[in-house]
Amino acid sequence: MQASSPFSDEELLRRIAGGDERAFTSFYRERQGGIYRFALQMCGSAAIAEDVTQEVFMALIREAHRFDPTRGNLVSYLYGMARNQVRRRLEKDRALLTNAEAADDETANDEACDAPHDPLDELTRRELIASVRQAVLTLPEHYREVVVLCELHEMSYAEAAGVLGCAVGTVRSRLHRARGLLAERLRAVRDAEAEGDKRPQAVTQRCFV
Amino acid sequence: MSCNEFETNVLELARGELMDATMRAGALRHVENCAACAARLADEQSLTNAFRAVIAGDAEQTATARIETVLLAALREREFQQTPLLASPHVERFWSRRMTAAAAMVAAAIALVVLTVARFERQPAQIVGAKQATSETKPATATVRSETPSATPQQIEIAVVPEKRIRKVRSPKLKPRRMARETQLPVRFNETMIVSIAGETSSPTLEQSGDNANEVEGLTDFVSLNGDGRTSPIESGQLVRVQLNRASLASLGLPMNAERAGETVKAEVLLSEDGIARAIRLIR
Repeated sequence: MQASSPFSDEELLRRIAGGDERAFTSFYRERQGGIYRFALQMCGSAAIAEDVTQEVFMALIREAHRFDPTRGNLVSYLYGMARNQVRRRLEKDRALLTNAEAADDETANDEACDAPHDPLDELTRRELIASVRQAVLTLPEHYREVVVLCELHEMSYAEAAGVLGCAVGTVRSRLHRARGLLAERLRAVRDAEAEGDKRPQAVTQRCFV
Repeated sequence: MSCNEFETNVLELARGELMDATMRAGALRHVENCAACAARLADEQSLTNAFRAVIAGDAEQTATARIETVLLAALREREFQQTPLLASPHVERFWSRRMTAAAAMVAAAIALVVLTVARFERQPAQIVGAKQATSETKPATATVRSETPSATPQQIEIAVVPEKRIRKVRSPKLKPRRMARETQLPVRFNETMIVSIAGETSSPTLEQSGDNANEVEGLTDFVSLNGDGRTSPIESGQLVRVQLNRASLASLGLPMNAERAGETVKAEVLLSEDGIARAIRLIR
């Protein structure tokens, strides 16, 4: 998660505050994907994820002075802002989320139609990814955060604790519990499929007929 | 290793994290002998693999280029604004506030000076030589600017009025309705009237306020000083009493007795709020 920018966090922010477009563009292109994916994985909506990404970097441009290097690095600061933005949006857009999830589900099926070489393997992989995404989205928010940060963004417990503003032990215990919940849910999905859920075949037929 | 001990280490084992070698060996030995813990480990490893699949699947997910465009535009907007330094946010904010306040004060002072100078320069009938503390009236030259853009400023001669004898009185004479009626110009506000009292010609009645002053002195109707003779509405006005050389009346387009060209005459000039002379009336 460490920044690969040649500048220190302070220097980078100073340059951005001074209007250095190259410094900002370089930093943005390096970090926007992580922030966008974090928001997307937390809320399941591409539209909200875009808004969150924009807000996070906009805050960086306008309120760079709010970054306190003694409390963590710049990337953790960005994730912290993204987390706050997501929480705000989730509270505001509960109703939209359901629709977005449905849309994503359809998108996943549509994407399956574009499967390249080995359609069945690709379909299985996409089904797995979709299942995990859905399972993550159904977790309570405080569990979802640690799963997204530690598992999907491969942060260490300490880094995640810095983003979430809690103790390392808290992160560890939440992750343990969250993984247990996910394992249960994914097992339930697998069991359901094994008992005769024909959804993958239905999707395959829709793609190739 | 017990099942409870295994449970505390299963996460690190499934995620392939660095862990104590003895602990790791003990956990793996436990799995060989405990089907439940083996299933637990298999679940966790499966989950880890699923997460890796999601990471790989989402790797290409990024925000659209539109966001970058929006952000760059915002960055350019802020290009000339200095963000406070990062090291001591509180101190920097404090200094930033002080600098802003100081800059605002300097800007206000400059604006005040500029406005004062501009107002002074636009004063149409300026009394020249007022420092001469004498009641003797001497012709002096002043400029009366006409409202008509094409019209050139007119040079008129006005009498010198001792500065210390100029006083301000609040005159109900300038009540908007009456003023509008007399000047034919709509006037909304009453303004302070500057009454200049020239030595020999001064009259106690000038210090009176109210309609009596008009009646005693005898005032002519206002004559528009616009080049085209039209009147235009003004929001507020100021009456300035001056003494003019009679010869200058002709330059203002007023009737003049050529035999008395050397004499002076008292008049009131109506200035609009922008300092332009709009109308003049003579005092008999």
